[in-house]
Amino acid sequence: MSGSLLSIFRYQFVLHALMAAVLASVSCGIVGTYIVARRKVFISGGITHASFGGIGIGYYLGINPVLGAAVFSILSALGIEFISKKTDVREDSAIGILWSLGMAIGIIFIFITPGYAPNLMMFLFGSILTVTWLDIYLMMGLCLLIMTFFLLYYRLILYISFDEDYARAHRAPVNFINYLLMSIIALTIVLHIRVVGIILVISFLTIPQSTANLYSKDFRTIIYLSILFGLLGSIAGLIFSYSLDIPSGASIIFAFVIIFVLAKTMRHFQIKRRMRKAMLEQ
Amino acid sequence: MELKSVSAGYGDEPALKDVNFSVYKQDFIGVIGPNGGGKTTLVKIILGLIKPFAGTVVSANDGGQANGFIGYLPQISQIDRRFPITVRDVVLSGLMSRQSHFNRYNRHDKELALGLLAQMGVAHLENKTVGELSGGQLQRVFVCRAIISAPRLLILDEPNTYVDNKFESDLYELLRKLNESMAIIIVSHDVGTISVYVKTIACVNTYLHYHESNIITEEQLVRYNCPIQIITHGDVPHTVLEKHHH
Repeated sequence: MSGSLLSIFRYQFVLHALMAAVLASVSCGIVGTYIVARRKVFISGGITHASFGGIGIGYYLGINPVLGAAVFSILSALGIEFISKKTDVREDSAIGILWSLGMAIGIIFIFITPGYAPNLMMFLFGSILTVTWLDIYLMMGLCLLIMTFFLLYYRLILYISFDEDYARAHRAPVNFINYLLMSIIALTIVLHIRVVGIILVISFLTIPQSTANLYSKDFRTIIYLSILFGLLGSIAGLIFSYSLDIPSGASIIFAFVIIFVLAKTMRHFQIKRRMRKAMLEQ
Repeated sequence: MELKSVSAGYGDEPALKDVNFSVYKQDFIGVIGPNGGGKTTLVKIILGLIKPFAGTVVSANDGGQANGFIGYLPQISQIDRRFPITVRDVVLSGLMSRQSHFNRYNRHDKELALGLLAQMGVAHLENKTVGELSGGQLQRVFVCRAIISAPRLLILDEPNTYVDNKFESDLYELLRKLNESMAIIIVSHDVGTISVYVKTIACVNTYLHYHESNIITEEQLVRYNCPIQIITHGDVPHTVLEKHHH
């Protein structure tokens, strides 16, 4: 009896983890392609760490830390965009300031919160095996939002990203789209902190894209391939995590890197073979 | 298109002062001047990328025109050449303002893009990404983007960088043809080459001096306070440098 109960429970949390993996792969595949193409990796790292301030305040006030993180990450995302455009503070310096300020606020508030912060490790390192229905609903909502936005505005996003001045000269709503995309980046980061944690979430947004970039240089194709590599890596990571009994966030990132190294090696030999063939034909 | 006593720039120091400048249908204006003299600022004012400190800019672009009013060829160095975008998408982006942002392109637009690429001799690169092109090929692609919307004003910012002589003469022939239906502004630090093709010359060095012909002499340049290198044409391509002052 207890054995069958256990297997149902097991089935349930594995199902949750799989759903989270699929949703994370799609959301991060799309948003990450934008981040990498526009060279916003460092900004995204800054937003991720600044959100820790929101987690600390959430604990202190006794509200959901994810909510605090969401507010902090959106404010820091818009703050970075605003400070670097409108003031003479350089963008990378602005990122560095908000990055460490957010971490400092988080540490102070967790320190002065009475008692023990039970899920702190979960925010730092994530745990795809403990996601709840609420997490999944939120991720699903975000995923739908991202897909709709990119489907409707794909060309506008592409053109603004490639040549902002040109888009501005054509009176495209450049600022609106830029701020909206920064907010989407912030939300994507916060909702996926649950899956892989603050320290590792940036890899979900960059490693599958780097692997995809080995095979394609076209924005749309990189999105599709990133989703595919994200899915492969997170499922492989789940299997490692389960069978070796290691933290799931770390094992997923490890799987991403293994896939990247394999793809890179294969690509290297493929190109070498093609060059040798071309030389022989001459 | 008209600029009335416009001053503009970055920070506290204006790069342009009290500039009056008008562009009419079928104008072909060469904008020359030293580096840092405000040529790029002038282009950005015309495109509406920066707002002037003082003065007014009257542009038909703001009148809600259905067709792209201004076609623009940026300096290649301002482009992120590792961005993952195909040549076809770059050219089609020239139609950005013509349609609602949701729309996909129809077959007519795609054929138009391919036709222009073929005219520039780069149709075979249609599916390549910008990172795979040479500087000259990229220039050709950007020319296609600038003219695909059949604009009434075409602005070219330093089109002769990275470019081979063949492309240069092809480009000027093309511009001469396009000039029948649109005004053209060409920005260059190389006076000699452009002065053969342009109808009038504007010299920009903080102030703007408009010159009603395409022949400009050294004395005039000195009078306009426009210290630039003069290149003349001869049987053998050569450059004439300023006389030594002993």
